[in-house]
Amino acid sequence: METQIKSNSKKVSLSNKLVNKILNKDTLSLVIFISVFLAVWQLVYMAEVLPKLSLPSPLAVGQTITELVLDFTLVKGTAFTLWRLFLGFLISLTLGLIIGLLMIKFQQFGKTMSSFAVGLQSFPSIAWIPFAILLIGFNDSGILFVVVMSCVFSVMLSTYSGLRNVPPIYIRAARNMGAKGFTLFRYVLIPAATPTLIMGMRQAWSFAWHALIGAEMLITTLVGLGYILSVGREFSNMSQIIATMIVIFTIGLIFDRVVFIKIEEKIRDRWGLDQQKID
Amino acid sequence: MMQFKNQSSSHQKVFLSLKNVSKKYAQRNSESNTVLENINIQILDGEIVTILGKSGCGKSTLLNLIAGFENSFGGEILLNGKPVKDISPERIMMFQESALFPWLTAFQNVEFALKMAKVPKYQREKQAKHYLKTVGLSDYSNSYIHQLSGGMKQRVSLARALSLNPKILLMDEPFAALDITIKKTLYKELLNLHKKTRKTILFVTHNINEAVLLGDRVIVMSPRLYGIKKEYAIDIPKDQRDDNLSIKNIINQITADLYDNA
Repeated sequence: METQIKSNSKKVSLSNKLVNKILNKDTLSLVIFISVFLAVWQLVYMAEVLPKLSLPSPLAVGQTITELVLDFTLVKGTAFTLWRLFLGFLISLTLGLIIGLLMIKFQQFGKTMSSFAVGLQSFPSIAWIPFAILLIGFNDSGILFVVVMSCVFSVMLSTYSGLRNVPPIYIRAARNMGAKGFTLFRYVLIPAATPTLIMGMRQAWSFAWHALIGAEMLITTLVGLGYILSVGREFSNMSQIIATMIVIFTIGLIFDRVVFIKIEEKIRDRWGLDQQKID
Repeated sequence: MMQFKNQSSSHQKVFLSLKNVSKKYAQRNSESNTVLENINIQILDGEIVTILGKSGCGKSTLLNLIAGFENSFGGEILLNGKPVKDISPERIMMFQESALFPWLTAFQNVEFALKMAKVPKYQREKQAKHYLKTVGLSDYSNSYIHQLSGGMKQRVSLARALSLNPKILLMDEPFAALDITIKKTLYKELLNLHKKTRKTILFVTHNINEAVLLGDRVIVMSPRLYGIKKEYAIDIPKDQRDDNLSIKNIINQITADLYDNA
């Protein structure tokens, strides 16, 4: 009997926690924000400021989202897009890390390559697309090429500067203790450069995401969120366009807020980069 | 054989010996900048020698040379009769700022040193705990470095240095950034540890009190001479040096030495 009560109260406190988690300040203000946004949208729609074809109602867009999810267009499109993103990001990480390390190893190459990479980093990713189409063609590899070119330089540069800016005193102390070669690299240089590396990866991810949607719109491969967008434009289907935009926005938000911010916070906290305290 | 016996019977043997050590830095305008000239120092096994000087007198450079961080210099540095070359865990340096790794806990920092010394994994935990206990930080072994106060950081540094069982401990103003009460505690702890381990310590500082409280000998450096100005052997027991009249006299003499501009 007693144990039952105990387990019951445990359940209650657990669900209480859950409710508290959902009803915290941030979530609440987000809900209010979205509601206000939808209300303004609905008002603009009802006032007929713009033709109804150009600006559908929130409800219509909601319906379109449901339809596109139910007939698997959006599900399939999201899956393909995320797969391309993952693949492109992975290739860029590998390439960027390797070239970044070579830049450290060969100083003159590093110097030249870094000014080159700074230029290419700010090069608009869309401008790679004609080049990719002629070089590779209308296929997945063409899209991947654009994605890689748009973000590999961020990874490269953050690897390079992260490793170069490791405080010399860490290296001195480690060498004094007997660390050298790979050990020094693996156990001192890499962890010391990690905060910079993570920041570079986050930037690279956002560049990759921008480039991917653009490439999917222009390099037609019949699948992907970018493709759904361009189909929407061709058939003047504003509901579909807005529905897809909402999905793209949500994915971006989830990755940035949930994945990268969490990792970065954890690392900054552990490395003590946010506190300038005690002493 | 006879000679060997003779040497060891002379009461204490020279452990670290600097012979005519000089150091110049190349400058842009091709004139070289002399930092140290003809330094001769002999340090006995188990001794604490403090090197005292104002900033810019080359005292840290001297320590860097002994640690092997810089390999081009004139003269000879011998440890146990063998020339010092390159960096080695035999000669561990403790820096003014904490050189601990912020991505590791206090315990992991000490363990890292043991790992570098190739201590087998199953022994590392026990040893790391032991050294943290030695410096009184058992309760903080799982704290990250930024969670520790300045004094605690230097204690972890000390634990890390001791865990490598160096032949000589080189301390480059390790307590300079700490406030006076913490300094006093750390002096006591350092002296206690020295009593237990009898490690040879070379301690560089610009603080006269510190130099006189800790050293068996105090070497006063002069920036003008690029080298040693005077040397004081202090034979007052270290636990009686607080508020001691002759210690005060020595401090006054050294103060005069430091400020007479030669």
